[in-house]
Amino acid sequence: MANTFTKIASTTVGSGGASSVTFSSIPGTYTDLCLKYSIRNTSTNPTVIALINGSSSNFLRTYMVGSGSSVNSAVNDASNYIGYGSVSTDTTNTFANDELYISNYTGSAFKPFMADNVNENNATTAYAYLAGNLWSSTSAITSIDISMYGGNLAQYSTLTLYGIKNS
Amino acid sequence: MASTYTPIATATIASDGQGWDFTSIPSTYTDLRLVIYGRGTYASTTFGGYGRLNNDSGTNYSYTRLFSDGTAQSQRNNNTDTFQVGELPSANATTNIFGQSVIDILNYSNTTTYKTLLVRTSTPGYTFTYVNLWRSTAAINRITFGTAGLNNMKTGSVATLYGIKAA
Repeated sequence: MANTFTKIASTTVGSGGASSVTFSSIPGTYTDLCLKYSIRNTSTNPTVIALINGSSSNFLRTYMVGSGSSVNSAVNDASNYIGYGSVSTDTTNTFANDELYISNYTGSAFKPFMADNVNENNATTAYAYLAGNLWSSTSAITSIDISMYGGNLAQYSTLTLYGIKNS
Repeated sequence: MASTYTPIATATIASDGQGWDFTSIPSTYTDLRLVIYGRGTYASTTFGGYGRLNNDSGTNYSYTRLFSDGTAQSQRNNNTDTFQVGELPSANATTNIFGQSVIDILNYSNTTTYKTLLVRTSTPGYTFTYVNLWRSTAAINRITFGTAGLNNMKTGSVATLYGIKAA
């Protein structure tokens, strides 16, 4: 029986961290993509940043995020910020868990994707984040780059890209 | 490798106005996942996505949702006659925009308990998460889904039903 939820590539960040992780040459043979990652910033900014096909343009997001004490939200924010990771001041050994689900990534329409993030760390502030996103391009997605604002992805951050086939 | 995430059926809307009707769903999986890539034909920018299980049109559904259209908010509704997933793009939305919805149905074939559906939906201008309940102990063998009138999907919309095995 065909395996339809398949690992395309996986990366674990080594000693010293990494400024970003790029999944390139993504094959066009799947229906959807799912990127799961566990990440932490070496600096204090929790913002996760994506580039698609090397571009930071044509992104929209509608999101809501809870910090434990407040809720913030925005609609059609033209930003390639895609969520909240853990930061250097969070409890040691905690890494945010994040997921992107990208539908019909090779199609000729614009590309919708959803982002779900959590970074619980048994402290005063942690984030739960849900977003609906759009990359307004008709190009097939062939690369995804993930980084964090103002720092590096910390050692032991892991990122895995899966391809999903519907037949 | 054993396959634990298996496409049961995929259906692409071939002409405007149709919906999806997955019938004779086998009971051999643990959970179901329905992945929607869709756009409606109703004359509005967005329209709600609705579904029924086993063609049950009784008021046997309820839901609680957390969502944002720029303002984070929560609502619930009892005794509805459909399960719901939130807004999907419709006829007046920008060309090339489709929404996505992922619906997880847990322990769908048991004949002892009511059935819970967890939903994430991403549409430009919205992000949704739902929990739906269907108050029936029947095994789920049919899922019907669409927008206005449980149909009214746009040509090119795709739905795939996956079966997920715990072992």
